[in-house]
Amino acid sequence: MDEPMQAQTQTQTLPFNFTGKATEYFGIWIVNVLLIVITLGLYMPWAKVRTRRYFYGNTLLDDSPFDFTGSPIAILKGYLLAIVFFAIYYAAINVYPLSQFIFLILFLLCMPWIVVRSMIFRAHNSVFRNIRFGFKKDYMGAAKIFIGLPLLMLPTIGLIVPYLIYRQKRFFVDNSSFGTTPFSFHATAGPFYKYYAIVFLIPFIGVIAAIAIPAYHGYVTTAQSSSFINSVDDPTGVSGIIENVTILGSMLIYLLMFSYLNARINNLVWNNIEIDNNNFSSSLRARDLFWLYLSNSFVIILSFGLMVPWAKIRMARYRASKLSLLAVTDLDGFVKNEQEQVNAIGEEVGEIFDVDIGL
Amino acid sequence: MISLPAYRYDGKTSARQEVSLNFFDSGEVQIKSLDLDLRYQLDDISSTPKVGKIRAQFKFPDGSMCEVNDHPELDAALALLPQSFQNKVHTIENRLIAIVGVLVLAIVVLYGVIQYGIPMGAKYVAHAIPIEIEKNMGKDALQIFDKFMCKPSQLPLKRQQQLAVKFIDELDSGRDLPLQIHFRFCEKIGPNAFALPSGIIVMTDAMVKLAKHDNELLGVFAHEVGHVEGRHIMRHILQDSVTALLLVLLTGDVGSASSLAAALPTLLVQAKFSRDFETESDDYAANFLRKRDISTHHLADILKRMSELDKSGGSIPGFLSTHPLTEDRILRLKSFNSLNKNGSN
Repeated sequence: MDEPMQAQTQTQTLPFNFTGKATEYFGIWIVNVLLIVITLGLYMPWAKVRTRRYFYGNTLLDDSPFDFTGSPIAILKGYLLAIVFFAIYYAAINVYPLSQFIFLILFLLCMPWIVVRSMIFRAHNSVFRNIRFGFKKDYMGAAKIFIGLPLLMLPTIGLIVPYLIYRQKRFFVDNSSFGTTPFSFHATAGPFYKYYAIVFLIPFIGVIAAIAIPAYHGYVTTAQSSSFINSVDDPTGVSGIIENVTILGSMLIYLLMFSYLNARINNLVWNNIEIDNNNFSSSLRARDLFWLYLSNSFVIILSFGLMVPWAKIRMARYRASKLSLLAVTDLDGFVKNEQEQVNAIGEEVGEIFDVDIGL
Repeated sequence: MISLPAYRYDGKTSARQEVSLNFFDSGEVQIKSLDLDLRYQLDDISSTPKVGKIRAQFKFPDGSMCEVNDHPELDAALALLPQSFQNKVHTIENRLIAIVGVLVLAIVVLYGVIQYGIPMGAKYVAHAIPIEIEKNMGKDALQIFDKFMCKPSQLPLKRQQQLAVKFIDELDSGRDLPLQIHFRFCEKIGPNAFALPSGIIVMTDAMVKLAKHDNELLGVFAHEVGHVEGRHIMRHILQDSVTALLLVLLTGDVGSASSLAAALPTLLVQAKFSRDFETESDDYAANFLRKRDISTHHLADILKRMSELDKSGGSIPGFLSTHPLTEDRILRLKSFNSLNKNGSN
């Protein structure tokens, strides 16, 4: 009895490794850009799959890469469906403006289905060592988290947000599996509240700016009108440098908050994911992310967008370098007993987390 | 025979085996290791399209897969299998000359799409959408003016009516949605006029007072009508959103911080769109004046007077400005006088 127990407590750290190269990805990216533009977007699904395969295929764990097997045709069908739906929506609200509410309700009701289906698509097409990931069809759970909890936003004056984020992460992790082995999530809501409190209370100015700027921006846009001349007092013109400085300042504060939350929540989530007694270790740092985002933005702007591939590769390399798998079994046993399943969820779930936080 | 070192995954477990993958000239393929000897026919095997230098995969009918890292003989083995069109894309992606060519082509095409494609599409779509759609937007925009920037006009009611009648008479025949003209006292704005959605036109008291001749105001009004007539607001919204979407798609993911990087080019392009609309409206006003044998000098004069009032505004660089340089606008307006009255439209 003692011996296997001891073997189990021996943890081996397996780092994630990203091998993509900016010059190589540049070729893929620029060809994608051209083909998307000249096909009026029809090439988008192929571009998406090639890009994803490049990033998955260059992410290695214990010398095995991930793979994405999504079919561009399936993605294209999804796009076309979305376009058709949007056209119907657009035509309908123009003819019957009140139908907006019906569409809104319809969309809300479809949300759980959309979320679950897209998670299944993503998971099912993410492969590691020729074994697919999976996602459970938990529509009820999705309805609770994407319809039920958001309804509490108003009554709780938004205080539910960290809890909501926590439940979303838990939903994504708990329903995911690698092969037949499920992932499980052990974090509690407490730390989510802590990080949100820090990010919103300490840089209080940030909140004011974050609220004031979009509001002001909205106000300028609503007053979207064509004035006869661009004058200093003209609220629709570039009311010059002051506006630009405010925008720049609030962007920096926003970026700081974004980096902090992104790093903390990412680490929190990863460090609480378990699969078959194996755990992850994520050690992203807010200041690193802040610097990466800031310098990437500058370089992209100064290069008129041509350095986008470099920026994306750089970010992927950093993120992979801070993530590792803490494998409980020794390496041989791990390979043989389908323990290797552990990590792939990372890439995929991570991407969704990124979108969540960005929104 | 081609022999490649490979990792084999049987597709049933995540176990990994080191094997040797052998392609025989007979069309037979062998997976060989110490405790394994599997045989397949070449026709039953497929490979995944190449992307960068990620490992090549050979897929077998029993669901197993072999993964091969970069190897001198890999390409020869892949060539035995049916090729995806994506491998042609891969070839282009990996040739420096081809990339440079694609880069130049992409810039030219992107420029064409932003400069001509999007504005033309937006123009077509905007004119297909009935202006009634803008009704609510117009109401909201006017409310914002009234709430935050303007007070009721202090001009004598008689003067307001006289101008309104003159403008409406000249410019409001045969319209789906009648033009509305509103005068407002807007201290914060100074002399200016605005075209709001759905054909609402706001003129400030200061603008009326600045004019030395009613034809100047008629010209300004015609400029605003040019915005309405050209559906500039709808086109602006369409162009801005499509451009923003396109640039975000090309530079990064929607919703992540990297989209910040798309913000500046988007701003520049949008400012350019705005300048183009101003020029179009100036042309509309100039043509309107010429048709009535009114000199475009009237419009040029009041424009000049306005720009003299706010010298401090000169600090915005041209490429960021939503309006063309005033001197350029004046020159362009004046040039219309030398044209034949019916010569252009």
